[in-house]
Amino acid sequence: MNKAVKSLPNGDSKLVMAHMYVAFTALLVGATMGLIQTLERSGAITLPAGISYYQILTVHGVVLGLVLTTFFILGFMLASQSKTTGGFNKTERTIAWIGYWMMLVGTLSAATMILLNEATVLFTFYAPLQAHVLFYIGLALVIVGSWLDGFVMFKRHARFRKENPGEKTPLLSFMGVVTMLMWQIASLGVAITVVFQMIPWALGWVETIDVLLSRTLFWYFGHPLVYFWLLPAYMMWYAIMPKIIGGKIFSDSLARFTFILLLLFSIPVGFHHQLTEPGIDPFWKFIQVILTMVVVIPSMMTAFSMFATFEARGRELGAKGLFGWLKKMPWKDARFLAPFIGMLFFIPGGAGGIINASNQMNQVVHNTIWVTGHFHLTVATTVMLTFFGIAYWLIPSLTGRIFTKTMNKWAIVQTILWTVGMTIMSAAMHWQGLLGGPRRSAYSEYAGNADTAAWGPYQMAQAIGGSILFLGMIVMIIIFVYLAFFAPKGEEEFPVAEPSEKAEKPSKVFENWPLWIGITCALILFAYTIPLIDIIQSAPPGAKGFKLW
Amino acid sequence: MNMHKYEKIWIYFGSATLLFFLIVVGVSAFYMGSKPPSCAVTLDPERVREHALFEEPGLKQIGDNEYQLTIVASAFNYDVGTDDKVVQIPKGATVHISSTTTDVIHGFEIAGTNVNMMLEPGYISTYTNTFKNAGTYTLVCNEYCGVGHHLMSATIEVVE
Amino acid sequence: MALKLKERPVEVNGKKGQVEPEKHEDINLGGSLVSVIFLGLIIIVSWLGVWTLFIIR
Repeated sequence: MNKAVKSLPNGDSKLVMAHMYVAFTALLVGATMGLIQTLERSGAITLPAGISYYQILTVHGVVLGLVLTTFFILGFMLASQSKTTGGFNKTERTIAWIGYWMMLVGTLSAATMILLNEATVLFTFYAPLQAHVLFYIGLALVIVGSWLDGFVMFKRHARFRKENPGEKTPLLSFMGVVTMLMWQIASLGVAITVVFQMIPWALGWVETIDVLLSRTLFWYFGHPLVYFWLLPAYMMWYAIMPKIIGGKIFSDSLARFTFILLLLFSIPVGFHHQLTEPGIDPFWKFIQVILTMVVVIPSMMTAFSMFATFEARGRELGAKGLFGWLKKMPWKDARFLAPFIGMLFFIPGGAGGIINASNQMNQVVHNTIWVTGHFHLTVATTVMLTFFGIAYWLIPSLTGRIFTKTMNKWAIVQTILWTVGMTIMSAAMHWQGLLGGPRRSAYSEYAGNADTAAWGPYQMAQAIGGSILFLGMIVMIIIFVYLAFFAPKGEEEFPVAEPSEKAEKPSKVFENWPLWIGITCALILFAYTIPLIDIIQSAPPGAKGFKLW
Repeated sequence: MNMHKYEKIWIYFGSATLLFFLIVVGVSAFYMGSKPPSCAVTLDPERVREHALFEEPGLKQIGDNEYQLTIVASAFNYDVGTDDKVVQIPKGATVHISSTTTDVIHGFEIAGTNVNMMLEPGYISTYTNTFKNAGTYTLVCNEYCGVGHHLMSATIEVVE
Repeated sequence: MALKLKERPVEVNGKKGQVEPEKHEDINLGGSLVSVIFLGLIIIVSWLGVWTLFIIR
């Protein structure tokens, strides 16, 4: 038997694995709810024991959109921070553990309220639907806990700079800092509405709530939230993927520049989720639509960098012709295949995103199931397949085990199931959305008209896709459990790519944090100050809480 | 920073595309008046029925081929002024739609048309639409509002 | 783009012993260019598709 060799110091491995257990438990629970939803909505089953579709949907959204993503991302970023900078010290690790426990307690508190049917408000918890106060306190704990994890990453990055004066910081460490900065600046918005608006209101200290202000604060956070899901996937694509295919980082400087652009422009864009809402001036909606289009540019740069990474490596291996490099890619390696398919899904995902954000065009698709289809392409496929691709090496490298050939085969099966299931489900959702089918709705025949009846076949297709995805989830859970507890002991590589020898040293300006934070805040103030003053000044009488479930 | 020339071509091409999209929607919104619904008129959400506009919901002719359609949304119902919840609208007429909610946030979507807006307590949502094609359309709620959310609907018949 | 980073002076004929600036011009990235342009066309076609829907409805 081989000796178990871990890729991180023991304490850091434990910390990261603690995050991973929560993440994959969330996957098991959340994806099971997803299956039930698609079946219910196809009209094939009726939920027993008075359980409502919306309670199941709340579990699905909270557990996958907030718990799985946050725990996986923080775990992965702590791991890459530790790997590239040389491990955390005792203080840093303790703070991270406190953050972890805060998030876990918060999650359990919110989950208990959802299971007791005290918080069937979906994962967006729009007021004036009023959940139990413990639901809101749970959410606040998750956010504040995540900040502690973020501070640990900032501190470790700063310590690296101090210990290695004049040296460039590791790319993964830099990207982790950018991602957490964006997350902390953005989640202030949701923290403010939860702590200062919703908790006092749910406790009965104040009678009413300013609904539009609360929604605006939520969406100030809500769009950067999706970038918080995406940026760790970009981290993997830029800084790990090249190593898996045996190549080098295409451009260290451009990667840093891309992340800085994402930091600057992913926050002042929340109005593109509120385009059809009353109470916000159309001029300011359009300003934020323009800013939304700007944040597309770093993603376009990412697309080029990825193709270039693959093409450069393929040509190094002797590929000929325009697309010969595709043949040189390690297709049979699930660590490559899963994230690669994730990237491909970002093409229709990105196209759909631009459509959603196109001002009045949003009326065609707003709150239709097209939107659900859209984010099942982006977060549930692009991001999730990348995360699964990460898990295949990260989990065994943390537990001192190896990703075996058999598991690789299962991982390829997983990737195929996920791809096929998501293609069917998401395509059906997009089409039904264009026909007007609403999102977040239980099975219904509405007024019995022909237009709504035509949605039936699409809902059936979603149930088929959902069933395939459920199988894919089961395979993923089996792989995770095997890699965490049963795989043969040994040493699994934690792949970290190097910039090419010829690479120019990234400019010092990238580490000028006061500058970037300053510009970020300036853009936010520009995009939000006047509309927020307007929203507060011309607010109608507040709304009382309702519990309509 | 050194950028490959093909990457520069791609960034120029992509940025030009985005600019084109922005110009199309911008001209359509600010020159041709096709803005997303953004009415900033407020009212007391607990006194909706006392507001002049919402005393008697339903369809009223207000001019030559011009109508006012007022609808009050509440959990889990659209009050369109008729018992069978059917509204008949002449094809090609200009229809000014005003709606609001008496309780939580609702959606207001006439499936298969561009009429799609949020109803929020305290705000009146308005949108002017011309129904170009005859047929039967369903008004559905597209924002979760509670356990009966999927039961909220009404019928809009666009007649010749 | 809203901001431009100051470019470091690029020496095309970097002398030995100096760190050569990053250069990609020597790599053939024709396949990448075709791929991203194709990606751009997907975006344009789907956008125009939904825009048409918006106009005719």
